[in-house]
Amino acid sequence: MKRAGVTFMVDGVDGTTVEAVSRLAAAVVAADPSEAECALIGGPDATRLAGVMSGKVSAVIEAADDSPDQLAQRIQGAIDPGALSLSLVSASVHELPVASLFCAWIAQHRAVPAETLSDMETAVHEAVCNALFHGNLGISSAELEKLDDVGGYFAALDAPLADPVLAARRVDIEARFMPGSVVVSVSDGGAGYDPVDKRPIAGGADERPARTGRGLPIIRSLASRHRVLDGGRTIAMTFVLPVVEIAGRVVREARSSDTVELGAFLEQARVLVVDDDLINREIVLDWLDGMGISAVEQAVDGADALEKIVAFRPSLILLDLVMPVMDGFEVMRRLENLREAEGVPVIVLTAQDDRDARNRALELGATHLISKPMVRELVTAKIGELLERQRLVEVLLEYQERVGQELELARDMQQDLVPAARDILSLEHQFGCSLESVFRPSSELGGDTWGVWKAGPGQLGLFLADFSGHGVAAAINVFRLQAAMAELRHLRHRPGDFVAAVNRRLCDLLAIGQFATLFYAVADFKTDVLVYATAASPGVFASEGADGEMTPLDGEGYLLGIKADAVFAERSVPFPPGSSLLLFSDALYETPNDEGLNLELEGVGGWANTPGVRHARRPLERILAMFDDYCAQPPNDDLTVVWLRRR
Amino acid sequence: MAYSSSRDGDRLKVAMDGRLTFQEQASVKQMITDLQSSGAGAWYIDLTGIEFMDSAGLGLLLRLKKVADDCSATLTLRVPPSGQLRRLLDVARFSDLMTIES
Repeated sequence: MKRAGVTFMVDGVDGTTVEAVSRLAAAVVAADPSEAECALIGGPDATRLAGVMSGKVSAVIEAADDSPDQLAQRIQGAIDPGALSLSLVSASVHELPVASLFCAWIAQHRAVPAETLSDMETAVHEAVCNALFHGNLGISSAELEKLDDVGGYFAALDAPLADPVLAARRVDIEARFMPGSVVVSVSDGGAGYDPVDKRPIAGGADERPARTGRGLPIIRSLASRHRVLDGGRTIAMTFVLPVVEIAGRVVREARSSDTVELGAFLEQARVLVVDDDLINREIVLDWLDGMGISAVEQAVDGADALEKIVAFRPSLILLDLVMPVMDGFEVMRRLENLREAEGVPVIVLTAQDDRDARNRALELGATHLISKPMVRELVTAKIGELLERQRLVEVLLEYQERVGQELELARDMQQDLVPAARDILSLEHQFGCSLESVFRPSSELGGDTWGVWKAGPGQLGLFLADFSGHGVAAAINVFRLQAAMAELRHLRHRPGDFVAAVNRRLCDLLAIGQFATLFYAVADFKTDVLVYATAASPGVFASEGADGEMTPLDGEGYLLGIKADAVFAERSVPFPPGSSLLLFSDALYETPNDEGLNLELEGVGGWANTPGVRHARRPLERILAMFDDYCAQPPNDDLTVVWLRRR
Repeated sequence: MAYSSSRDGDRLKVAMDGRLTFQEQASVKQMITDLQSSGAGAWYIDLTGIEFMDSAGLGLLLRLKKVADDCSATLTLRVPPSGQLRRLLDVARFSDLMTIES
């Protein structure tokens, strides 16, 4: 994000105002002379905040009774590209819907889905309340809880707000934009508060534990991640944002797991401990707790375990073998058919000398065996290893899914490049012709594209291109070709020059070994001539008049992207009313049938000349039906076919 | 926050609008007093007009529940099926604590 200016709110700074403001301006200019743009908001009018927090401003600082030095320092601190910051005194925070304003400000800078914005607003509001109540005004959660009594908050806040020192303490909110997320930090300016001690700590900010109350659990639920920093003075909340946006489209909603650090998998793990011995369970529970695994459930026998697996959905199971009611072997047998247990590793606890039991457990699908008596280091190491492996598999699956979604988007975009039905319809009306087309991008990305436009008065231009190879590279080349053609639109009425110019552009852009075939024709509806130039494009048939036979057009010419100074000859054929032009990519004649045979160009010609096709109202529809019958499998390359017919 | 109430036999319906946060408690205080003195046996609180609620708002709802219990009145909250308020109630699992309908 590029910062565009700093706005100062100067709110009742008596006497020192002028000096403060001039110092601030100097600080801004010194920090970033090219971008400095200062606007002054004067007077004690905090409600004008909403207007100030616009898209082009990235720092709003309410000046209170700070010294000019302090204010200058604040401004300097706020000069930070990639962040939005807001600094308000407690009295203003109490008056204003600060979180709503701040989150709306964030949404001006980054696309935030509505649900995320709502969660963000709630969480930021709670953090701001914490900073105001506990941090700045020194009121404890317990006191407030007591005061839940009708309207109690009011009274609780009134007294400290009347204290000018407390009311002038600041709440600082900062939003830092990261790839795929925004981190909102809320800091108080208080002396600190210890919820355990129930008394403000004088100056001991470093020793403060995290603040508690009803707000923190809400923040925990709504933010993807949160941290308490500066000994409790700052709470930093991460919200995941959509990461990839192309042409206003969100490729995917980023997942909360994107921000999970390595190691956080332990916090997310859910472990079921199955043992009939209470002491054993308690020992393991203690070890798990020591690992940072808090989501733990216990079961006292096999039957209990099966119920808990369904209800608790563990990500790992520790299973004892010898238990009443149902033993561990039976549990494992049943796990095989339990959907909830699919992919969940099972660590079996066995007696060291019972070889038979160990073998049976492994046969029944135990992931790992641990001998009793258990050794802490072995058990925790194995649990950690299995959970990490599970996490890695998840990451891989997510990655795979993400790549798949991105490919899908690229296919959609490729589809968007070919003419829209609306545009085709308009050209059909304008020229008195019918223009049938099909564009089926393959499951992998391919390199086909086509287009049609008005090339001049009474002239219709039509092209079809097919890039070598598949995948992302071919798709990118399609975009390059479209871009080059758009730039060279002034040559559209001269096919030879147009193809030569496009070729020159592509020679600069394409990597060695990348090339394309291209056919471009201009059908002149006044002179009844079709003028075309071709770059080694074999898939073209044309007929002269309604009764003429569909015959292949000469497709000789250099491939695009091979030779920068290549010349592309213009050829012409008569194209009176009733004539047809058929363009197609190689998938049409190179896709094998059941016997492994391709249709070949002759085959396409045969189909096109079938009276049932040629005189059909929609000939392309017929050909596609024949093609779908013919193919053993859908083609693994893009299929593009266009049929133009003059009326 | 603004509210309006209407009586239908033993049922008192209160519709609340605006923001329900720590900043808005004077009107809440008045509202609770109204409910207490109404003598109605069924309190029906319509929160669909609330734009934004915070943890203090949750505290007030808990308080309201307690007051209703003390008055031997039933308390029903009507909330929108989605949105910020609904999300907050879900996160705080309020449906376990009181009757919520949407």
